Amino acid sequence: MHEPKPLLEIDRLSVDFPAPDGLFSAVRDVSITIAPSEALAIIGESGSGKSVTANAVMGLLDAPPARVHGDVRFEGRSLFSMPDRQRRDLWGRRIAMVFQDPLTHLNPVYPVGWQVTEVCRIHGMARTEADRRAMELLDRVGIPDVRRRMGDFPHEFSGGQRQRVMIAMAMALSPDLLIADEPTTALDVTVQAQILDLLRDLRTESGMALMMITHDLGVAADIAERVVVMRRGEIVEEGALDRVFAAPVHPYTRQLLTDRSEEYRSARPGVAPAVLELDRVGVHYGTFEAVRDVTVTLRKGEILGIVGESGSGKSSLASAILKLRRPSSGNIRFHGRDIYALGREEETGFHRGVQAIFQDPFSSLNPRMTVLKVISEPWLLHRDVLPRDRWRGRAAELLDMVGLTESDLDKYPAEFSGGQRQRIAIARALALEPEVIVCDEAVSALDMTVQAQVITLLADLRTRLGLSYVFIAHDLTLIRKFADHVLVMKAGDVVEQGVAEEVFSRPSALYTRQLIASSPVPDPRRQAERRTARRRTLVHASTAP
Amino acid sequence: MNRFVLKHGTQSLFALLCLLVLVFFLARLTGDPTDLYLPMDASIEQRAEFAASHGFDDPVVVQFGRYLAGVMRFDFGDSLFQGRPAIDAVLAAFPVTLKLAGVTMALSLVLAIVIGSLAAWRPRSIFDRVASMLTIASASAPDFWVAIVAILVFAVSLGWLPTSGMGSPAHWIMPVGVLMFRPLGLLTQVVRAAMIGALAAPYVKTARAKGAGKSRIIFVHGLRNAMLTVITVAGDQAATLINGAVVVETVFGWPGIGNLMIQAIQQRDFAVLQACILMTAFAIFFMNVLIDIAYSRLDPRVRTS
Amino acid sequence: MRNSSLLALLRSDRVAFVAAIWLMLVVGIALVGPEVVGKAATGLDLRARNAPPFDFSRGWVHWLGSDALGRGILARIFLAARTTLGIAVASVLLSMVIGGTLGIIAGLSRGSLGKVIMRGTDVIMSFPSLLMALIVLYVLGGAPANLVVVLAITRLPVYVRTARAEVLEIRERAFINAARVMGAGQVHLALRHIAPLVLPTLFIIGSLDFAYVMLAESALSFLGMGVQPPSITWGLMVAEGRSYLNSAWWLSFWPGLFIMLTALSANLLASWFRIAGDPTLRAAQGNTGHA
Repeated sequence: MHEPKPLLEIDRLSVDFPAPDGLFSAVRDVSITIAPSEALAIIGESGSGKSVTANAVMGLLDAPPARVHGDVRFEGRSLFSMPDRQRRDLWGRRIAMVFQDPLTHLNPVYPVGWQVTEVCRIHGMARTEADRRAMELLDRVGIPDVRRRMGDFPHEFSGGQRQRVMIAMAMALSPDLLIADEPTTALDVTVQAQILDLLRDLRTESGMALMMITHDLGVAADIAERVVVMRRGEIVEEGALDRVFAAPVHPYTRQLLTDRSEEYRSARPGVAPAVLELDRVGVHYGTFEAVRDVTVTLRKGEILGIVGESGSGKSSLASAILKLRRPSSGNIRFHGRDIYALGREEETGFHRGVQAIFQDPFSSLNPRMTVLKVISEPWLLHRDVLPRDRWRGRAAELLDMVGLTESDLDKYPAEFSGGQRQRIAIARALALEPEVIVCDEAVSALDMTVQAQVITLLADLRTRLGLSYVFIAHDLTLIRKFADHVLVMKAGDVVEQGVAEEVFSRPSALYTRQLIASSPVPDPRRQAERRTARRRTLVHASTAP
Repeated sequence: MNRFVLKHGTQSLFALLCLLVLVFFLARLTGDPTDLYLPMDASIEQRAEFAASHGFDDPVVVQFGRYLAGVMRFDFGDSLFQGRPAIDAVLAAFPVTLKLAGVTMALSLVLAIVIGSLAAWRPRSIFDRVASMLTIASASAPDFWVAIVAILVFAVSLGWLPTSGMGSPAHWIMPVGVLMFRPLGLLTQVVRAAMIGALAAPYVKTARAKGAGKSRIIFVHGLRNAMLTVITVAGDQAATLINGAVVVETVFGWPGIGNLMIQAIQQRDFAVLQACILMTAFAIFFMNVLIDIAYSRLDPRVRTS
Repeated sequence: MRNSSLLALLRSDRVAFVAAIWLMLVVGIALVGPEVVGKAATGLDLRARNAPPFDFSRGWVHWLGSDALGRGILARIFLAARTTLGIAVASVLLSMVIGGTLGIIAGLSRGSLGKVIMRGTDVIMSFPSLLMALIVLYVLGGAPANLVVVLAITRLPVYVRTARAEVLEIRERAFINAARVMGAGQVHLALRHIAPLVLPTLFIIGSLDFAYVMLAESALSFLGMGVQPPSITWGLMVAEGRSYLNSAWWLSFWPGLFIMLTALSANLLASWFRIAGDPTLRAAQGNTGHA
């Protein structure tokens, strides 16, 4: 077969950063080529070096402190050794880039129209023509009412629209290569699906090459033709999309692709007693109605999954259950007693019986407390549970239960990774031997492999300790793997609820079907089918968020 | 006017009122003015007559009410010492201070932006280190001492500049130079920190990926965002500039509001003191409103939310 | 925070190291200086009237010159160090404790108490602090204790605002909610979680403020509204020397230099600590250079 001349060649690229103990090598000896109009996905978890690679190509790493070795060639010309002027001429015109978080990557003090025209103006286009081009582009990426919205500022757009603006900016001068660094990670799944479709369409129209950086195998399966899998700064596997997904060679790729759906779910408890009952619960913030009329029952040993996108009210509901925010209507009962009308003793009982694990592993532990202090805080608040001289021993047992060791007790949170911190948070939640744990996006911030470990731990603890979970997540795949009973929420309403398997295999609400169709699966063939399906269920650009 | 400006405006107005009350009652505590203006051997009748003619025999609350009513009409009462309306004395002194502060602030801002931006472009470079040292030093200098040393060097030893008074441009050099020390030091540090923050922001990455050059990144993307912080701090500084003005006017014998206020305190001249304070507070209030307007023009997030 | 590594970091930054040494020296002078110089600071010596500096034939207290009564400037500086530093340290501590507490309360309170506190600080902020202090001191008199209180009040807003802003941010972190779920009350949250996180910031502000307060006290004393003779501070020494400017410049120069160097050291050390104490900032400082 005839090999096309490569558009971009990354040639034995290495990037090192100075670290307290010598050099930290973020990227080691990475070589990647992209042919014209090819779609390549670089897959990896945090710390894999995928983003550093992309930033090194664009010369966006600050050097010093970054030390970059190797070479990157565009159409055979070395980007690293060409004069600054020539390189700047390529940026934005031949090679463009889209970033993860569109809000911070757009300049807050300039109108979006101005920011799109800026690319054209930098590369010498006349003002009126640049204006016309910007309007055309914003219209193409699906910004409604462009003429009026050109003068609006980034904060006046939704997350999805901001990413559309970023894409319009990148497409302004029809580049030959688009580098997209996690462009859909900050977005809801339905919006993510629309942005992926937009990128796909634009690629078909313009014939540009795409280098997509992602941690999400489903996203890669959706858009790429070829994938590179990175781990700890090195390439572990590379090949055509179908081949890698169907027959992964490297153990790490195989680990990534393993589907554990059947491992988590234990037999659903029959008619176990109700632990927590929500009856027509509503939550208001001022005049804004965050949650409307939620009625659901959590039984002993059961996992209740609550799924929804941002603004669905799922976290407000969690706050109401945890007594962090008083519901404006309805009531919540713990063992039959209204939790907002408890006596002193029952109040203590509630605070022991219901615990929480929150999303952000970096803020869920007080940075100035040792692990021992973190885990023993519940005993400090409930002094009759455990005498002080047994705190250390019990804390060590709990750490052991979540897969850490006693020697970790005297360390500070900063010395642990995200996954380990979530384990510590779980140990703290277990300290009072609760009946219910509310997990509010408890694993969303974690890498796939770490996520799998924490979920396994939670599933295991449920079996051993008879815990019930309220498991809140935006990630449909997770809920599907883990929950017994599912509540699908949208804009404060419950659109569908029922036994998990049934909801997912025979969704009755249109929104549930959209969610399922939008949520990408790491299987290229199934993903292609879903794409066709979602084109049918989703209304496109004109009504985009 | 938008809600942001309105909200801040009413807050400052409330502060203004509190200040008025506070100052009136505090000034009354300084002592009985009849002791000050009448001879030691004045008879009780003379004292009573003096107090009655100036309204000092009424209850304090009545005096305050009368005062407030006067304030509404810009009538602050007569100066006991100068024998003319207090407002006249204040209005005569006010432009002097305003000019001094205005020139100082403008010069400090311009210099701070230039030096701060240059230092921020390459943090930890030699220029940055020297600039940081000097700005911290100038922010740490006691202004009255700098003024004295300046007089010693430029007026007494070298004889280049006049020691006091105002008139020729030469008279301006030392007062403005001395008054600039603190705001310049502080503002340069603020500009530097704000610029470093702005240049490290993700949107600067975007600009670089668009192919933007250095000057566009610094001035179009960096400075515009850094100005938001700088303007807020400059506003706070403008109020503290009055502190410095008091000292500088005293040392260089400028007939400004600072000088007038010190005199008024020493002479227990209630009317002038209160007029001074109120006019200063009003000027600061007015400037805060202007800064809020400027801020809301520069930051679209405030404008529309 | 490990103290030994912090010390090593301090040694590696020459400027901050020198600043720290100067501050320790000045604090040492304030602690034992007045006793060391004894009567030399107050007793008359007419043979040494307005003696110029650097005349090493006299006792060391005259090395920086002598004043109109023949008292050695250095002796006077030693004597004044205690009052000057004492006032500054006391008012910084006072405003830090009161302001920090009010700020934490304002940050935690969702009701009107927080609003009242914030409006109060607005009132203080809205008027030049020196003028406010001038008026109050004229009413109450320039005793050191009054000076401490007045200066502390004028600096309150800085601590209140900083503490409140920090609390508002910390309050949203997940560990606060985790503690509330366990049944923690406001007092537990404030003492166990919030105060330990706010304190380091308040200390940095305090060290910056030390310089500010010392300058403010000097200015007030210079204007004749601060400490009154026979008490003495560096600022008052500058004021007293002003009338001899033409004949004996050293009367004003040396005490002013001591004010400047001490304020400078405090500022340098504070800005160094802000970077060294915060690893993220330390990294950011090195990370912003452009290729």
